[in-house]
Amino acid sequence: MRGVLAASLALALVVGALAAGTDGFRAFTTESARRLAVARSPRPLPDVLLEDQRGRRFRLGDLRGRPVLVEFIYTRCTSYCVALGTAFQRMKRTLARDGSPVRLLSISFDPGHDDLARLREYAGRYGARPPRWRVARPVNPGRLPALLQAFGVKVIGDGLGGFTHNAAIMLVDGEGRLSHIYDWDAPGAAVRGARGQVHGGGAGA
Amino acid sequence: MVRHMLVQLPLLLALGLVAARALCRPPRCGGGRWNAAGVPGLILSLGAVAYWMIPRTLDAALDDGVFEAVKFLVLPLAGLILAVSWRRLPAVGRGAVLANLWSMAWVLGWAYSVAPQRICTNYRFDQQAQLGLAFLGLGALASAYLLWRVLRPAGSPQPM
Repeated sequence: MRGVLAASLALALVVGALAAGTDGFRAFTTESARRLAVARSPRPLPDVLLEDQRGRRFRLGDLRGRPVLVEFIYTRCTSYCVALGTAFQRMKRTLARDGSPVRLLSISFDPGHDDLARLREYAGRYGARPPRWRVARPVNPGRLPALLQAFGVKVIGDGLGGFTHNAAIMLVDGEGRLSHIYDWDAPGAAVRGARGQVHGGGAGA
Repeated sequence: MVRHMLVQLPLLLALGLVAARALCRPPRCGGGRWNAAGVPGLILSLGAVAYWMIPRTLDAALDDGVFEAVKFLVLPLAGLILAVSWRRLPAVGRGAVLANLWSMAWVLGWAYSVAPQRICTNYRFDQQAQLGLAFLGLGALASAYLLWRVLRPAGSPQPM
């Protein structure tokens, strides 16, 4: 009898721990946990000073008032970022056609290598032009870890001199908070989400 | 990733197994009637192993020192509980556990080698595929061992 009780308690403890560690069996990976947490409560972002492909300086907070779709990149990237860049290019076309106030922002996490000339080259590759689409880097590289942490982006070496990172399309709402994360290959959903915030006004649902 | 999951985690467990050998000669620390047939202890220890193998927990252990420290405490403890519970577990229970672990090695091996996306943010795609291969290898070895144990006639070392 005691054994049955102990087994039940042990089972309850194990199930409880697994549930607690996975948001009730909904998020088994760090990436899905990030998406769930952000969707549940939009996350404030640090007001980092950036400079875009034209050398113009602005703060992340200056973009408040309209939704911004953000990607993290490094210009040497030859894998996911190429697909992500193409996705942004498609979003740019859709948004321009609609005359939408939604903005696009590509932020380099490799500011040591990505100087303004390289940002310009990257912007040229995809036809990115301010103010619709800024390709930027942090002015002070020391602020990069805080920025990446706030967005939940983890960058690791790919063993070949490049980087691997959890590439995604991130929606920052009109109040400057990270409010939704879309797959890198789902630009349509990202545009719909951003549009919804324009029409819904403010942070949206 | 292979080192984290198939070297570090088993070594931490083994630490507990060794401690049980040194400190807990039966009938000491078997858990008495509370640990009937070793089942409650088995649930706890295997549950702990499962928890520390969740991809999100693997990441957390690398990103957060507190998680890592808790892992280094919990897994040896789980190993100790596993050792003392294993002694009390009837043969049918042992068989069930082993058969599950072996088939799980195949399943994890398959899952990690065909996953189209990275599962942990701290590991590269190729490291993940390597882990898949390692799990498949483990499953193959364990299955071969199982076959050999079952098919070998008792007492005679005759090849299959």
